[in-house]
Amino acid sequence: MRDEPDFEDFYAAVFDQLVGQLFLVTGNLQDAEDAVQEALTRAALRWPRLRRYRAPEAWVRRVAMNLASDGFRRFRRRLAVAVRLRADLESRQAAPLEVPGLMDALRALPVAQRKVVVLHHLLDLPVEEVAAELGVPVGTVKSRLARARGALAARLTPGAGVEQPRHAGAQGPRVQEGPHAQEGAGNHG
Amino acid sequence: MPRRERATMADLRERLAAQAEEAARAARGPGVAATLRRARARRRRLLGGRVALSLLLVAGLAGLTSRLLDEREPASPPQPTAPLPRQIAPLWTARGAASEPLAPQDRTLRAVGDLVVATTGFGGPSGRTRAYDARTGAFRWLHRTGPNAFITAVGGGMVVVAPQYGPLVGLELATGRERWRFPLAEGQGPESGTVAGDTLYVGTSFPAEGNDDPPVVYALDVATGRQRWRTVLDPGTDLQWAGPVVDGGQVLVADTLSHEGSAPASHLHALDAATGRRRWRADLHAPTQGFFNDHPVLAGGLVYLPTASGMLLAVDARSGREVWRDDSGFPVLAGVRDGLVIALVDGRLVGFDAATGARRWQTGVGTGAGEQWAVLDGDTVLAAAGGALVAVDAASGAARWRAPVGPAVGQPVVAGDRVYVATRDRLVAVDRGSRSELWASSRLRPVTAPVVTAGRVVVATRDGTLLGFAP
Repeated sequence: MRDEPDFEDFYAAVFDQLVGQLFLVTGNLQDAEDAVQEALTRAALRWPRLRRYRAPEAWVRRVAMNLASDGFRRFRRRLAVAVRLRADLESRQAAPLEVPGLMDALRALPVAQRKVVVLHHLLDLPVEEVAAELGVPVGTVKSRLARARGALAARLTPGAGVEQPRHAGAQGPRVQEGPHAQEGAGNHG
Repeated sequence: MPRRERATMADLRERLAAQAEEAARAARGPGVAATLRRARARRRRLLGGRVALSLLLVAGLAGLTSRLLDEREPASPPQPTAPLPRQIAPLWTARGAASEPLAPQDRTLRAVGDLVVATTGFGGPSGRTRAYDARTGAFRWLHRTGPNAFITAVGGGMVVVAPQYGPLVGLELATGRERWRFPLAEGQGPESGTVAGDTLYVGTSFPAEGNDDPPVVYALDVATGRQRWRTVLDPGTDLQWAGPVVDGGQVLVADTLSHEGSAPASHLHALDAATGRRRWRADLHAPTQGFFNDHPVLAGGLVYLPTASGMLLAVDARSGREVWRDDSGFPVLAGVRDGLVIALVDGRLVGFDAATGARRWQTGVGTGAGEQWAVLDGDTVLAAAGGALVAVDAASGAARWRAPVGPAVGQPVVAGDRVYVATRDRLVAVDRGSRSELWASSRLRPVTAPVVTAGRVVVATRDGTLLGFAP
């Protein structure tokens, strides 16, 4: 394959970074790696075209995000033959250290909400681009963000649900009232 | 138990980045060589399949050709012959008045009479509702509403606000004085409401993870908050954002799935406006979750609405029986006029026969960055799409003009002989007749569609400022 050296550089540059992002979505390192691996395999097939993209990693991330759905475990079973070649790696793989509280809070969200949190809050994509990347209406992205933020606030804010059982999010974002906002902000110009 | 550090939503990004970095360090892939081997093997299989597929395609080409529609060329962009628009400064600014909405824009900024009402605190610990004089920007009143405050409905001299999980609070519009509170259950959050006559109709959902409790629709006396009726809908669903449509003695509300597999399908429900009794429900053919902010549109005895599965549906307003559907893409409804339902569907404005769903005309208006909106303005359809404001004849679909204003934020608003549109970096006024840009604001970051009232055009920006412009 003529483009292989080029693809090798690309693979080396993006694999770890994308696995990190996908881990936040899947909550499981193995699933994250498999999603990224499958997406990169598809990228290799299209590399002569993809390499001309301004950000080919965005294409790979989109494919990996699509794969990282609730049905991904079923998909992985279909890939069993391909996955087998890395069985020896899995056996000595260490799980990543988890930022206290964060992964529990993320795992309590539906996968669709985790995706918008990662794309909007980690990668700083505007909601329109998140919508385009996920192929859903902008309104759906906003709703998922609102709900995810509500649930995360409930779990990540001290005394507001972090110690609750798994469905504490159902009680809403019991976030604390902050100092009073400025009142009477009119400023005639 | 690990020590729980003080956490706020403000440091969410830092925590996500730290966690992603940690996972990236632990990542161990099979390596590029194995990836390329898999790709080569898959390519061989694909090539074999394509030979067979090519033969099938040749046979099918004749059939495809017959389905090609008489599609007009995209509305041609006029070359900018006019001088650059005048840049104007706001007449007033109010800082800290609004916050970036992650709920639909119409929940966070409303204009009523000579007031603009805005909420702050979305995604934050506190939420306020504030009212300003639209003409001068003078502060009028404030209400401490609670986390993720938003405006549920306005009408009957009242503004009804709520934190994300209730209660509903009725405020006197003129003074901000709290007149009533209507408590909701734990985890129950109101959606947008509609005031019709002296009644507030509002749906509520239980949106939190793992909660499949059914939505509840309430009818409340808007002056007192007293409940007139409540109706429980289907478990495993949440209501759409758009407020109920109240027409012909019916209240129409649409739902979507709470999460994947939580209910068999989503529905449009028709409730008796006087009693809340369910008259019918129509299957929306949407087995996945999807939210949109379009109201159903009632015309000529039919109800038209988009569905989360990307379908435009027409159902009988008296029975809920499906009359026709178009599943060619996600529709943004502009309205109904002269027997045509006009919608923006994947970059095309389409005029559907209102009775049959047949396409009478379609005109490409472009896709790309920015939100897509379509509004009916008399005999003209205005679409914000593809980074431009496009005007099309509602009867024929013929392109009238195109103004490359930039990607829209919120819907275009028509007032007098002008169209106002917020874009990602300015507010623009376009002359409806000559399509020229009359003025533009200096650089700012709008987060809502503009509202026009009391001789002012008001927009909220990302940094939480309200700006009032002369029209």
